[in-house]
Amino acid sequence: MNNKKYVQAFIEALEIGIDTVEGLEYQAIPQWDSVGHMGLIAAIEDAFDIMMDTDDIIDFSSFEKGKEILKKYDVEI
Amino acid sequence: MLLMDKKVIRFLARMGARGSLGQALFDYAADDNDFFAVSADLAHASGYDRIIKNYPERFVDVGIAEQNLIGVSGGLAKSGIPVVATTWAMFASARVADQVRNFMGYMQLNIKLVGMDSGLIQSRFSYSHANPPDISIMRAIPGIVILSPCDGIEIYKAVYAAMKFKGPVYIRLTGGDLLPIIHRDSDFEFKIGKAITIKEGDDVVFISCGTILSNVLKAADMLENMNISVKIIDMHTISPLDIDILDEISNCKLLVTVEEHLLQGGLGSAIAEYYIQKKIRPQQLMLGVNNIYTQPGTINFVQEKMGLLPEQIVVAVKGKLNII
Repeated sequence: MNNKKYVQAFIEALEIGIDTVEGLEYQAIPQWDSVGHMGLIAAIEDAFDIMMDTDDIIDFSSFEKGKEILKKYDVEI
Repeated sequence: MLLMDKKVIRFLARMGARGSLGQALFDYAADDNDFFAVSADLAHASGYDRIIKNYPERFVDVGIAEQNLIGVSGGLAKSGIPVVATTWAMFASARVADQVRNFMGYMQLNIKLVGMDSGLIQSRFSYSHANPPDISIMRAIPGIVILSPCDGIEIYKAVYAAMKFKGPVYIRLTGGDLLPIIHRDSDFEFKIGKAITIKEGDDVVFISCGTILSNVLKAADMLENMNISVKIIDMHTISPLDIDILDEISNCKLLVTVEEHLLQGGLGSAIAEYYIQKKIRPQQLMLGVNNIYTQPGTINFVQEKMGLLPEQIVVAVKGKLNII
């Protein structure tokens, strides 16, 4: 369930297809620029009802890294 | 324009004040509206990245030359196309007052001047950048609309309203990278000159603008817990003031104005100037920076020094109520 929400956040925030999500990294696609990043963060925070620290927002550099970071917020993907 | 829902509220809060500005302008351009985006070497800080990428022909960087910013903007505005000009609020007011007075005030050229990082957010850079007297300066220039939106969604709506308005506007952006959320309902109308009542109450009325409203909201919660009923008004337009709402509240027990700005010439001063002409006017407590150069430090540190933290606002209000 969490994985579905996580993937959906990427799809909606970055306006990409499901095939692009796995392994995606920051700035690998035009949509995931600094603005897209904030949209993604907002979508993830909304999906899991959390507020991320600034350092974690900065560190959130990829689809995979995001999963690690979310563990800090008790979200297991 | 973005679809206004709760996700957008959070998104814009995360974007910060300047990010919300950039997003609003990018969307305004995408809505097929023409304008120039000019900056004094602060394109990235202004949130202009996507505008530069998608609409490079609209962007002009004048370099670190703020007076030239206004001059170039004035020239571009003479073409009939509105211009957004951005720089730090201290420079957008203190440094360029003469150019603003001539090109925006007197000539009424269609320039939307954005003073970024106003208030106390740049306190770590000390007095040269922090606490700009932007409201005071702009109020002393006839013919300029002055806006001070309080959160991301209000910044977004204020930018749209300013761009549609035919005439010079000064937009004062306060707050940093993560904005407090004050308007939790995205479905509110932003109208220049029309204040927004955020909360109803009977005993004390707060009027404030900018992100300091977040401290006012917290202070209000504390006062309500002490059985002091509080009304909160978001006076996002400082000029023209919403005098209808001021007339409505003229019988209140205590009016408290709160601003991240000098008391001299600021929002509280503007309101006091209105009421002084009236027979019926409320007792007014003005909270802000009282005629000093603020110390360097974090925004929290300086707000505490100025008595602008929520608990300090509560103490000030209680003190005043005991005297009345």
